[in-house]
Amino acid sequence: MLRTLETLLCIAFLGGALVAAGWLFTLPSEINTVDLNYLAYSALLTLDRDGWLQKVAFSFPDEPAWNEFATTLSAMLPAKIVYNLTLYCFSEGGIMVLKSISNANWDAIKSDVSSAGVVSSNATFSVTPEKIGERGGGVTLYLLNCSDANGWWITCHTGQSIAEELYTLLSPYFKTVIFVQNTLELENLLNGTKISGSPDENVTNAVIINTFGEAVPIPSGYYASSGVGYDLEHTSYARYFHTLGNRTRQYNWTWVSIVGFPLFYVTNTVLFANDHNGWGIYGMKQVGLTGTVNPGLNAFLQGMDGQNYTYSTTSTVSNAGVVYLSSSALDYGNYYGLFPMPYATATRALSSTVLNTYNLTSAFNVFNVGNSYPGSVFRNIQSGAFYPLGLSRVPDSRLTALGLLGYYKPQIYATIYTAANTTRTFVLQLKLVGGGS
Amino acid sequence: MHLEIDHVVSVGIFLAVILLVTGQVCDRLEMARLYDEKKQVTATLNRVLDYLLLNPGVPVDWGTSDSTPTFFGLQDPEGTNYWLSGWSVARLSTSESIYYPKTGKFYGNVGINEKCAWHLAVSSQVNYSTVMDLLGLRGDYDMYVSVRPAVAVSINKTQDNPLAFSVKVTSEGGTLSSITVYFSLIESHRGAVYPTIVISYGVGVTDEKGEASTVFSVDGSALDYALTVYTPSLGLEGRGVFIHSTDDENYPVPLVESISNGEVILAHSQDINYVGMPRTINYAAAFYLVASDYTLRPMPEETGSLQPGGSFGELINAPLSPGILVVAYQTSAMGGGVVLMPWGFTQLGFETTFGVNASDKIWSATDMRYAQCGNGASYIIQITLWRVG
Repeated sequence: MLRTLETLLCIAFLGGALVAAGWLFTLPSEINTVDLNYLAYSALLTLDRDGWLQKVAFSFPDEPAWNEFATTLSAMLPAKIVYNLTLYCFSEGGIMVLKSISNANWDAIKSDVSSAGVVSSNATFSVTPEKIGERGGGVTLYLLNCSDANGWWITCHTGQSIAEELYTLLSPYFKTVIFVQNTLELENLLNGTKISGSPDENVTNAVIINTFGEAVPIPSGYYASSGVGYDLEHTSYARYFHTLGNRTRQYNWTWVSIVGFPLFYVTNTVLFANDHNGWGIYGMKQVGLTGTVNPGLNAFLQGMDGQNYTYSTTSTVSNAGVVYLSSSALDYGNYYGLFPMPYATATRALSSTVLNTYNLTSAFNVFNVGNSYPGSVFRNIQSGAFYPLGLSRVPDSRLTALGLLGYYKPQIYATIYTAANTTRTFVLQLKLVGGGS
Repeated sequence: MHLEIDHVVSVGIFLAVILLVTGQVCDRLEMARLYDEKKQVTATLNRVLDYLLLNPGVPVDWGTSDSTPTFFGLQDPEGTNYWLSGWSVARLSTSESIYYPKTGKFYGNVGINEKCAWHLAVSSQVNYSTVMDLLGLRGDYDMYVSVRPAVAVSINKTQDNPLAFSVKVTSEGGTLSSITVYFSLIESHRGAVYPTIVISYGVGVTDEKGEASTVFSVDGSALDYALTVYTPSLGLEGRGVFIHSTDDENYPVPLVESISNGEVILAHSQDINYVGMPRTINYAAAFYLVASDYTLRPMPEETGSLQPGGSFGELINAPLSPGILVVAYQTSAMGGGVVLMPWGFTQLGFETTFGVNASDKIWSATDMRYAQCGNGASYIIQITLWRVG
């Protein structure tokens, strides 16, 4: 008898445990597999075709557009899904509910939500790019716009027209942009002297774009003199480029060559009034002897790397043929709204051997790199940077801008709507009825 | 002795109860396992559905090319968010097919009826196993994809003379009232040799039942015609088709050889169906583009003849943009009709399914999204997914 009682007691315990477990361990009768968040989002996007959400959002709450909207929304959603749609207005006074419609007695419990913002057609917006180096005093952009210089391989352009194009493209990203109007101002710049009255001008860390193609303006006087700008032994102005490289290193400049063979000629319409480049363009002189490899580029790279000047005719460029924009360049092109042709012909691509010889690293490749660098920003291990675009003429200013922006990577700050009460947001809540969670 | 019996009975009852409780607990554990599995399937489904609709695949224009995609997606490459590419959907393999002996090929068969269908060469279709491979689901999951219009348009002819129609516009949640309905009546007028295509238009508005009607001032009793209907409502747009022919045994069948090259051939129906008395078909065919005001803009017309057992006709004016192929035909003094083919699948509100039938799957997950097409049509894409193995 005692054992029967023990057994019954045990059964009672087990039964109780089973009932308790059943009570605690309940599963939903049905699993809702429909993702209501995304369903709501796709519904709002579908309704937004042809800008209908905008029209409804900015119509008066009692206008027929709302009735049509409510009818369409009700008809659109499956019968077992009920909705609650609320239109919010954002203003300086805060968030305000403008209209709310629903097709059921709505309680927000267990609903899923999605939202879509609309902007009035009256709204205007602006973007504010970050100024390059603004957290460190700003980087000054110098555009060579010398009136006493001529260009080569800038077919269909002048140095001045390219300077204007580049100003349009790049001025939003620089705190100070200064046109170098003549070779005298260039001389001051080489001396480390400011050339404008702008308090924000900063010679150090500047970007200098040579808009004259294969020709580089040279100041007459000191910088054209023997041992500084002129190599008496080789009767060549390659020495000037060595000095230029030195200054690039000294002031941590980024020197940009926009097309062709970098640093191939020197130009000064007064100094070389009776000289021409071999193709009938006066005011210009080739730094190497005709038929030899250009020593100007080597001299510049020597100077930038702190090496002594040597008249070197070692070949540093090659023909890379048709080259294509790198994936990074395409990404940055989308980001900055620059859309140059995705391919180009690079007959003066920089040889990869220069990286070791002159302690350079490629910091940003505009074009895909093979055996040579058709367009890359090179950074010296110590100081200074060099951006040669070894493409065939005609120059494309967008590529110049793209390389610099990809190198410095200034941010594009968030859009700012300039008109008040122009942003409204639809919030669509969906709930499954008749079972499910 | 009495004590021993008492003991044995107690132990017996105890063991019985233990077995009962263990069974109950196992049932609940199994339910929990299935519940967890379904949650996992649901998560996979949500991911797959968004993946399909938010990326166009690679190459992005695989829908309009003849290549097999290396990544799979159904988004319109020219759209954003939930934009469905009608061309990519058009390349999905279909459960039904027809065989045309003149080319020795099978063609997919999807559409409203035999005179309003989409027949793409099976060799140009993307099959289910390829899609499952590209999605990384093969061997673990099976799925069933339904691509259907978000707005259903049913059309009824209410009288012949004058020719009148009523339409009913419905969606998932009910009828659509106060919607403008655009009608395009495509008539085939029989001529001495070839028929001519004449198009007239009508407009109506749906009432609270979602119904609208229109009347065309023609006698439809002996007329060959097709009616297309467009129902734009905010962002929700539906399409419908109604076809009336006086010869249902002989008609041209448009077969799509290649979307990228715009290769469309016209086969004689007798070479595919072998039903009824074979007759020669004379046809006039033209692609039409649908303008924003829902009028039809013709491309250059082409005419030709099809003999039963003879060679097929070739159409050369397929446009790059989506449109509708209209083929008017006549087979004798009293017989003829109109054949329509959407050039871009979603043009005429077609629906299709893709994958493995899910009707007997208990533990499956189903999810859906709304999407719009570049031509304005609104669609619902629903996928049912379940584990295999």
